[in-house]
Amino acid sequence: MEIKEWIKGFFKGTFGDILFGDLERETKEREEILLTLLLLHFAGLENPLYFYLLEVLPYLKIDENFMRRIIAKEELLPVLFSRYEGWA
Amino acid sequence: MRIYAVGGKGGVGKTTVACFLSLLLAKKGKTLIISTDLAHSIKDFFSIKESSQEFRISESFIGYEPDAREGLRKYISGIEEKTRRNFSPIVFEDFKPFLNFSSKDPSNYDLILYEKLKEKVIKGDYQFIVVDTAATGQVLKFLSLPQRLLIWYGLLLKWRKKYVALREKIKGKQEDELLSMAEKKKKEAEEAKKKLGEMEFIWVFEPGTLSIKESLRAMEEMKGRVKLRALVANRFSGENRLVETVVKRGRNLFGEVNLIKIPSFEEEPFPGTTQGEQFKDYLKNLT
Ligand SMILES: Nc1ncnc2c1ncn2[C@@H]1O[C@H](COP(=O)(O)OP(=O)(O)O)[C@@H](O)[C@H]1O
Ligand SMILES: [Mg+2]
Repeated sequence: MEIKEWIKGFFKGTFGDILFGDLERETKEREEILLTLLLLHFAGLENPLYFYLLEVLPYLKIDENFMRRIIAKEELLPVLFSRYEGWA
Repeated sequence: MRIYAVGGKGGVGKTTVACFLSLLLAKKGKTLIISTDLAHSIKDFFSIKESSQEFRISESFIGYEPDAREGLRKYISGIEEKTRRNFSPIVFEDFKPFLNFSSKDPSNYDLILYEKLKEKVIKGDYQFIVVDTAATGQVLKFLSLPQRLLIWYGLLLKWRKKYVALREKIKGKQEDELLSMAEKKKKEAEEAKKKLGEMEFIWVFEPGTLSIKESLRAMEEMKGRVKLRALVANRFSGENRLVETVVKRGRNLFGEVNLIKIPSFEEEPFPGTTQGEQFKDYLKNLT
């Protein structure tokens, strides 16, 4: 990818969708849980719904910080598993 | 609408039964025959040269051989196009390998075939739909998917409604496309559940040990999940202890079950041949 595009892409996610405080965090988290579920399938955790999770992908607004959050801090995983019970 | 599914081990005569049954049904009302086997053979059976997936066999009779590989590629590339617009380009690049992987994953073929079957079933413009199936497991999947999807879309709606409520506090009221999509899909699943729940299963088998063993297993699996309309003993001659075993077990598990015995013909039973006409006659009391 060209450097100019890369910079544009980086800032689009950072400033494109500004939300604030705790509400912001919870809102983003709700969006990202779905994506995390999808990634878990590719990471080897069998998920029979992954085909239908793919269908959700186009409706999510995800910035670069998502990848950083789940890769570096893994902070979404405990949240995810705490809500995992009661589905399926 | 009545939906029939024809199942059995490879080579026992599923396609032959499904096609002749459809021919009989097409005399009574608008009929669709759909193949959910990756190796389709409806066009071959009717000697149809057309290359389209959907083709007319007679006035009130349509054939459909959905291409699961192509369907999956299209499904994923549709997702890719839409995702490209909403994700930042950097994250999108990270996701592309996952999408490429999914578009070639054979475990998705049955889901695509389910989607194609569901479309036809809920559109409801056929009086009869006959499914020429690949395997028992596939049919059971088609039958259980609507319920699983009801749970999934229900959960998705619950999550998303909370998300939309939160977002509203920050950014004010906005249309949510995911919410509308999930609502629509949930309704479809409800309808598919209702219609596919009434599916009538026709089990074809041969009086050979392997086919018999598979039949006994399949019937145990199907019990309580699908109506067994008939057992078809194909290439059958005289008394046969093995066939009796299957019928006995069938009646044990499903109550009264029709048994249709079809002999082995010297020549292949195709439409327009004497053998074909005879074969078709054996299926008359199924309609
Ligand atoms: N009763 C029969 N007598 C002679 N040939 C048969 C009979 N039933 C089926 N066949 C032939 O056996 C082959 C396999 O049948 P087919 O319907 O394609 O099986 P399936 O769909 O289960 O794989 C075909 O060539 C068909 O014409
Ligand atoms: Mg066949």
